[in-house]
Order: sequence, then structure tokens, then C-alpha cells
Amino acid sequence: MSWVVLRLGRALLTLLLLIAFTFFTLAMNGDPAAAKFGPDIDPETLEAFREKWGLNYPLWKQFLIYLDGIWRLDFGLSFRTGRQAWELVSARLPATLALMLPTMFFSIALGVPLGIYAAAHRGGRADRLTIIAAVIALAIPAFLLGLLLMYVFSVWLGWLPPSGWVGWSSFLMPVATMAVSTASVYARFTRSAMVEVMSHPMIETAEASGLSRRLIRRVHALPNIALPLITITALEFGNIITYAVVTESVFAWPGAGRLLIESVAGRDYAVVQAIILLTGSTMILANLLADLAYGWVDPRIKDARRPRPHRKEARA
Amino acid sequence: MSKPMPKALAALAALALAASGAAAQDLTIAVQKVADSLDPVTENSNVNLRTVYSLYETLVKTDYRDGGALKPGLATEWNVIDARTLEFKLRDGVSFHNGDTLDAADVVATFDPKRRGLDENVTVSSKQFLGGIDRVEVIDDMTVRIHMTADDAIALNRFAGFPSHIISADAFNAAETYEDFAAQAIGTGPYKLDEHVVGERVVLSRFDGYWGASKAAADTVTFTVVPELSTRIAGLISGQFDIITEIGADEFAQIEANATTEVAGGPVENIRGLFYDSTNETLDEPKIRQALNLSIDRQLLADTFYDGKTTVTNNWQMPVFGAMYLADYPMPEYNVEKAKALLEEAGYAGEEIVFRVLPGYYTKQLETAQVLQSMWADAGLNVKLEVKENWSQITEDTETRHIIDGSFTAYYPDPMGQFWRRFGPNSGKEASYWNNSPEMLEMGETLATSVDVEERRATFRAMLDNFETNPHGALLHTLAGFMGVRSDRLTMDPIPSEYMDLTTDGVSFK
Repeated sequence: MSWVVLRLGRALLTLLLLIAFTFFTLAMNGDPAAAKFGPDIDPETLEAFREKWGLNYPLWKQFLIYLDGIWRLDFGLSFRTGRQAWELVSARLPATLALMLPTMFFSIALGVPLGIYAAAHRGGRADRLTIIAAVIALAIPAFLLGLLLMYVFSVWLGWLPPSGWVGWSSFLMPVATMAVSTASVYARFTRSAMVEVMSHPMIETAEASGLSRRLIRRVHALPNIALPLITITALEFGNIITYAVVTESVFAWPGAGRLLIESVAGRDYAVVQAIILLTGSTMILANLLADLAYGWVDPRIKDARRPRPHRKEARA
Repeated sequence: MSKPMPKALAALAALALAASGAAAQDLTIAVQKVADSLDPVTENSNVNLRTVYSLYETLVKTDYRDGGALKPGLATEWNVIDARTLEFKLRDGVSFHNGDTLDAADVVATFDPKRRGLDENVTVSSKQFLGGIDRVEVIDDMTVRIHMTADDAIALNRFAGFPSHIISADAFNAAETYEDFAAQAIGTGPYKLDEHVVGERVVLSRFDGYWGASKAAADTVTFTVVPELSTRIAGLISGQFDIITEIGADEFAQIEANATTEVAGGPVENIRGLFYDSTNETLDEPKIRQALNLSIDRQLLADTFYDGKTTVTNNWQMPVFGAMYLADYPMPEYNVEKAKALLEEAGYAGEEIVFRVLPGYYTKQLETAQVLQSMWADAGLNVKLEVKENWSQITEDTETRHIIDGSFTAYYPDPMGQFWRRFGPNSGKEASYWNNSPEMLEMGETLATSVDVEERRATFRAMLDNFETNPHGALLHTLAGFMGVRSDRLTMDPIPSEYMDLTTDGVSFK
């Protein structure tokens, strides 16, 4: 229990630091009034806008007002639209989730079997090809891969729509853009975890007892690579959010990632903060769930977290 | 987690409809951005100008297809009583999109203090355009008299252009807040607003009750946001979009090479230029600013970045100024040797001059800055480029603010709508960037208030001469707006303005 409380405390502190860092970074390098009205506006209008939105208060006071709002689950109003920031973000979230969830599914479905296959043929041609493909996939930036796919499948072949959502075919290129690099991460980690497990003495023992290689992999090796895969899944969740920001811009996908870019450019503090808070919480939650999952997958970890009995009690 | 999904599907399905462009008379236009507010007085941006022309109309119409001539719009006739009083007779039988019928109350609501920046609870950007209106007097149901606070040489022009678009009094009075009213975007234009999703799309549909002869060309028009230029081009070539905006000369060849697409557009009533901050050291010397101007090969910029499809104006004016256009005024001089001589006279010893640049706001902005830097270096000027992230960093008033980018839209076809709007005492830059001489301010007053055309022409000429010797900025070339168009489906005939004409005059389906 104390372990969970400690983790939650750390999560809250991380969130607070995240909010503070985002707030001060945005506030110190751009004026929302100038961003909203552009360069041609008269100074009186700019001043009236700053006054109306409390931008003339000292930064620390603006921050405390914002924190007070967060405490009451009020994320504030968007400078750009005058609407609730949370309303804007929640309207865009479903479109982002509609990209993220299939991406995660296909990354695991493609990357894990590829990694197992490469490890099973360690040192062979299949292994080398898999590794080279994974490195290339990881090295290509998402925006470049997105544009390449667009030029092949939309401009040359005319098979897929290049932007927005015009049917289920619209998912293919954005999901492929995001899944390629994530799948390559899964392939590489699965391969190395599998190679490590397969060199463990227990595998030799299993082989000596006459079990087939396939059965050994399924029964002895796969459960042992579950832990690193859970860790990677929690980390990749953050990467997928990053890819979504880029991919949504390239494919004009109406998600929260594109909203984040627009809002940062427009210094729309409330919206940026709401998105950062949401993604930060998601990351923290994903890591927390991964920690909990460790105990479920490997009971030894659960035992280690239990408080040790007092020495006197132990003697008794 | 299960609840948001139906919303997601609804949002995506709406986008699917928006992006399909499959129906015979529907138009899908891929744009870099849509306006956050479609209310003319709330948002003054080129993306809003694009939609305003379809939704709203003004009392007097500026006919861009007839050299900017002023013609009857929502007013059938007008009378300039004196330099500060105008009377308008309103057109009968004009309906707003909400069913309201045009009368004097709508003109009163249009120029309500809230919409002129006089209510501190409502932030609008119209003060520089409408701030000179004193009051609107109702003579009868269909006649209004507008009183200005001072003599105004271009008073009539103010009611023929942005942001004097007439709104519905019923909608204005019924709305709980100004934001609620602005979101409805109710005008008398050939299209009405169906949907506005901030940051995503604006959907317009044909307004069947439109009074004018030039009707809506399409049943629906969807402006869909596609931030990446490459994606817009891919969408045009693959047939997803009918029109794409904001393309540059680099993209012309690719679009023209495709059998079903072409480039449309050209120069608009806007000059691309620079502002100088002469309150800071180094640029406080007029000779150095003159040298900066003399070192710019403007035609080379127009040829390089616009493939020769834009023009260089003969100083801070445009032919659309009509009677105020000084056709014989010389072109800006390009003379590097003269620039060098001036620098020597000024005792310039290579002091650093900072040019703050915001890449991507204007077409080829960073590239233009780099070429300018090189041109200035030829004359011996040491200009350092500082790339910034946003306008507040660009305009931040420090000792290193020397040169910044700007554009000079001719909101009214008159020097008061362009040159003196941007360099005069109401530009927002007086005292902060420069101090106009008393002589210049006096001439500016004459330009603003005189109704004698000859006197105004002579004054404008003298002001341009004065500006040459003590420049607060540099003109580069006429700004141009280019679009990619599906030539197998449409013929476009754009107007030389940032407005987009989507009536039967501007668009026809094949």
C-alpha cells in the first residue's frame, strides 16, 4: 500500500512540475495577444485583450490563478475561441485515439513476432534483414515516411486519400506511418530479450530434457520476455503521442496533436496546458499500470514490494 | 472509454463529408488555416477575408472587376453631405441568412460601439478602421446618416470595405454574449454558414434568398484545414480537393505538369515590405536607411520568388487608387554605388543591423530575408538575421530591433488605406518605431481630411518625396496569392484581392 501511495505522490509531483514548466516556458517566449491579432493591430486593442484575460498580472499570479482553476477541474478558457479549453481538447481526442489504438495493436502484432523470428534465426540472413529493416524504420522521421507514402499511394497510384477522413482507407497511411517505427522498436527489443533468455541455463536444461524448440520458446522463453515488453509498451505510449502530433499535421487529421501545434503557435495557454496535462497523466498512468503489471506477471516482484516483518516479530 | 467513440465517429464522418468533394456542385478548398472567428470586426486576417466575401456585404460595393470602382451594394444610393457626414439609402427586399430583412436598425447594429472597439468587455480589431465613426442617425426605416468625428477624405471608402460588413440587428440583439453573436456569422451574402469547427473547417452553403445577380456558384463550399503544403498538393492532384491555397512559385511546375490541375491567381492589393526602427542606434541615421532601400533589387525578388508573376509598384501606391494614383511617380531606385556613397557620408563603419524574421508568415519569407541580406552586404551593410518564433518576439521593443517584415494591404483604394495607415500617427508604430516630422504629420492631416482631389494628390506626392529622404520602411513588391485549381472541373477567375470570389463571377463548373 505504501508503495502505491509513494508512486502516486511521485506522479502528482511530476504533473505539477510538468504544468509549471509548460506554463513558464510558454509565457516567457510569446505574447498571446500578439499571436492572436498578428502584426497589424493597434496597441490599444492589444492592451484591452491583455487586460481582459489577466495577462497583465505578474507571471507568478497568473500561475497561481491557473493552479486554482486546475484544483477545481477548470482548465480555463481558450484565448483563440473563448470556449472551454477542455471542450476543445475532448472534441479532438477521439480522432487521436482512433489513430493511437490501431497503431499500438499493429506495432505489437508485427514487431513481436518479427523479433521472435529474428531471434530464432540468430546470426542468419533473416536475422540480419530484420535488424536492418528495423534500424531503417526507426531512422526515418515520421513526417518523411508520411510524405513518401502519400506520394506513392495518393499521387502516383491514386489508391488512398492523402488527408482527413474520407472512409476507412484514410486510416491506412497515418497508422502505417506511426506503426512502422513503433513496430521496429518492438522487433528489436523482442529479439534481444529473446536472445538473452534463450542463452539462459534453464533453456539448456529444457533442451536436455528433450523438449522441442517451439515448446521451449512458448513455455520457457515467452513468459520471460513479458517484463521488458511491458516496459517498452509504457514507454512507447509516449512515443506514439509524439508521432501523432507529427502525423496528424502531415495527414491533416483532426486530432489533439494538431490542436497542440496550433495552440502552441497561438500561445493558447489553456488549451496547451490541458493537452499537456492529459498526455502527462496518460504517460504517468501507463507507467503506473506497467509497474502494477510487473507484480502480476512476475510474483517475485510482488513479494519484494511487501513490507518485511519486524525483526522481533520474525523471531517470535 | 466507450462513450467518446460515437462522438469520434460523428466527427470523422462529418470530416468525410467535408473532404469528399464528390457531389457535382460542391467545392472543397484546402487551406492552411481557417479563421478562429468569422466576424469581420473580431478577426482581421487573410484567412477571414477569404470567407467574409461569401457571407457578408457592405453598403457600397468595391467592384474589383472594374478597377475598384464604388458601386451600389446594400445601399442603392448615397450622398456625401460634407467631409464628415454621409447619407445612405438602403436597398429594399434584402434578406439576412436568419430571415431578418435589411433596414436602418441593421446599420445601427453594425456600427454599435461594441463593434468599434469602444466596449472594454468586447475585444475587436476594428478600431483603426471604424474608430472615426461618431454615430449613426436613423432618418427613416431605409435611410441612415453616418456622422464621423472629424473630416475624413475616405469616409465613403470606409463603408465599401473591410470590416464595414452589415450584420443582422435581430441576431445581434438576441445573442446572450458578443461571442455567441459572432459565432453565427449572419450576413446577406450569397452563402450562409453551415458549420465552423475552429482549426478544422468552415462549411458554407448556397443562400437561396440572396438578392444579387451574382449568385453562389456552388451548392456547398468546404474550407478544410490542411496545414502541410505537400499534403494540399497531393490532395489536389489526387482529386480530393478542388482548390488549394497558398502555393508558391516552386510548386507551379508540378501543378501545371498535371493534366487536370492549373495555377490561378496573381498580384493582390497588398505591398510586401519592411519596417525600420529609427529610434534605435545605427538606423537613427536617415542616410543608412536610404542606403538600405537603394541596395534592394526588387525586380530580382519578384522574378525569383514569384516566377515574374508579380509586379513592383512605383512607390507606395497602386493603380486601384484611381484619381489618387500618381502614374508618373518613378519606380524605387536600385543603385548600389549611391548606397555606398551615402554610407560613407553617414560614417557607417559596419555596425550590426538586426533583421528579425518570422519564417513562413509571408511567402518565402526567410529566403527573401537571406537574399536581402546578401544585397545589403554588396553595398557594405552588415545585416544579421535573427529568426524568431512568433510576432511578439519580432516586435519586442529592444535596442536590437532594427528591421522587421510587414505587409501593406490597401484596405481602401487610397493612400490613407495603405501608405499613411501603416506609417501615419495611427499606425501603432509612431513613437515606438519612428517619429514623423511635424511637416510630414501636417501633410498627413491634409491627406486625411481634404476632399479636394488635386490638393490631396499634390500632398501625397510631397509625402512620398519626403519619405524617400527619411524612410521608415522599404517596399519590396506587390504581394501575390496563388491557388492550385482542378482545371478538369472548374474555371476560376479570381479578383485582385485577398477576398475569394466564389460567386458565378469567380467560379464556373465545367
